[in-house]
Amino acid sequence: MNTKFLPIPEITLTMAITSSVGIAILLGVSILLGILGKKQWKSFDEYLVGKRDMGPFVTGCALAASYLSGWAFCGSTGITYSVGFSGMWFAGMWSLIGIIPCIWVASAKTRSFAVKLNAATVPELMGRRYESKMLQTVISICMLFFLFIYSVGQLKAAGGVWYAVTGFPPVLCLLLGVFIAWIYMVLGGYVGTNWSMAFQGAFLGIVGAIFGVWALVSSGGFYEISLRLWEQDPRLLSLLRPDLPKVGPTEFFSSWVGLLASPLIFFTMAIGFPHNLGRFLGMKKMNKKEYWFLVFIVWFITGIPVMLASSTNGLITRTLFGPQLFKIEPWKADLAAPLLSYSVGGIPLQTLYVMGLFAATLSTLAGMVMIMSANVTRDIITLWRPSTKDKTLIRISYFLIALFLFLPFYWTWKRPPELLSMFMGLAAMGLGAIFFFVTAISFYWKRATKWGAFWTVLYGTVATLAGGYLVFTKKVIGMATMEFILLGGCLVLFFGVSLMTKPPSQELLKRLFEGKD
Amino acid sequence: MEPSREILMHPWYVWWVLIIGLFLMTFIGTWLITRRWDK
Repeated sequence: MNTKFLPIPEITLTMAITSSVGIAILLGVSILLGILGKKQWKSFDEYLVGKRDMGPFVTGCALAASYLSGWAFCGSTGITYSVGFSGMWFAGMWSLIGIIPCIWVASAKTRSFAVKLNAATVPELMGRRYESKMLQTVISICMLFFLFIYSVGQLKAAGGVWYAVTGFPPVLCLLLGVFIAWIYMVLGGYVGTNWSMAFQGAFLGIVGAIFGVWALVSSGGFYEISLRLWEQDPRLLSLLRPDLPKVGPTEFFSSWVGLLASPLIFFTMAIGFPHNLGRFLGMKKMNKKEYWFLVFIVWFITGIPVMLASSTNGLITRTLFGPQLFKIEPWKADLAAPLLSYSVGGIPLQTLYVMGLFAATLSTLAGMVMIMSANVTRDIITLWRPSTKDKTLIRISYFLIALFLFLPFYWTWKRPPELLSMFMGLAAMGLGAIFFFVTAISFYWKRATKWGAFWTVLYGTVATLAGGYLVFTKKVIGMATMEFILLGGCLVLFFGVSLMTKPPSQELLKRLFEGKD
Repeated sequence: MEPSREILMHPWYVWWVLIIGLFLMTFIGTWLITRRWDK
């Protein structure tokens, strides 16, 4: 045993019981909010967006929760644990550079355009913005494809951590988690889901802030952390690690290309993620005070915990446990956050951390699944068969929500197919690159046309698939280089094709761009 | 041999610049956007 570092703690019965009780409480409150949300909708439209009266607190908490996944709350700590300071750029240090501009650029505009165009989903909003049913269908299929790929890996961190702290197989716990998510989504619709997400977001924000600050205070200070990292490996203090490969995901840590690509990824992802924009569809019109409150809530939940999780938490874990976690298969560095929570705050903090991780995981998954289900019901079925009854659409939604929740569970339980794993890493980048232009820019640029949007969607999808192959299978280029290829192509096509094709009708432009929002 | 304090603290200076910079970006940006809302 290495006496320089703390021993890896053994799982105890108390640990397992308290974590189980903690998760039960989290799921219990979520389901309660879903039941309360049942009274808030009567029609299929209300099921999809409620009454567009969500206030800044619920919108802010739900937005932060939808943006912050299990990766932000667990994987990011593992990155800085593994590579040191150079990992913080990609691990989430730039989270605010995405989510705050998302509020500035997209919140009021998404709401205002959705009200003016009577749209209940993002593809519907885009279909009407670009005056094209064809484009609405293409966007909904593209969204469905990317969100499906992205959702597959969502439960992995929660499953791994659950097993690591309780010793119980994750299958039952995750199955219970997705079943309860299904109940509150089905019962509560948009409102109930938003309420549950808001609760989960507030919870993970508070727990993440306590955890990060507590760990930093108990670490002995900045100098002490650096000194202990230096003693292990001076490269852990480097802000860039040229010794790491410049192909594959490590390009983010090893080169300036990676360092510059990271903020761009966070910026486009936060603004382009449809499950983020979805939070604004049911938001109320905000006055100045409410808008400030919305920004503050999102800053608090995303800013403090995630910036600490993506930097100091991983570094402190490395000083405490050294490189021991790399030897623990298959979790390795993913154990950094739960072990740190235990070593800093014992069982109470570890329990809160596990609850926070489940909150982060379920909220992101629920936000995505709600969008995916509406992609089929509203953007494909209702679009092409408008006579379909509300009752039928709601029943189809129930089934689709179950399906889209079950598949990520299944592939966390069983290993996902190789092809799916390969594209998972780039799905978020693809979504961000495409929809940053197709949605956010179209709120401001009158000249954006359906063909500009169409070619951006097409290019972004093909480039993401090709990128997955080149980055993860062939390993010939880095993931950061791929971001520039993706984003550059989308930019050129969106603006170039839009300028070359017929502009939207004057009537539409007048309706959308003239007068007050 | 223990490295100099400057070397050990350098990444933390960058870290603090990021923390403060992103804080200022959030609230100055919001102030710029909302300053004319009352009118």
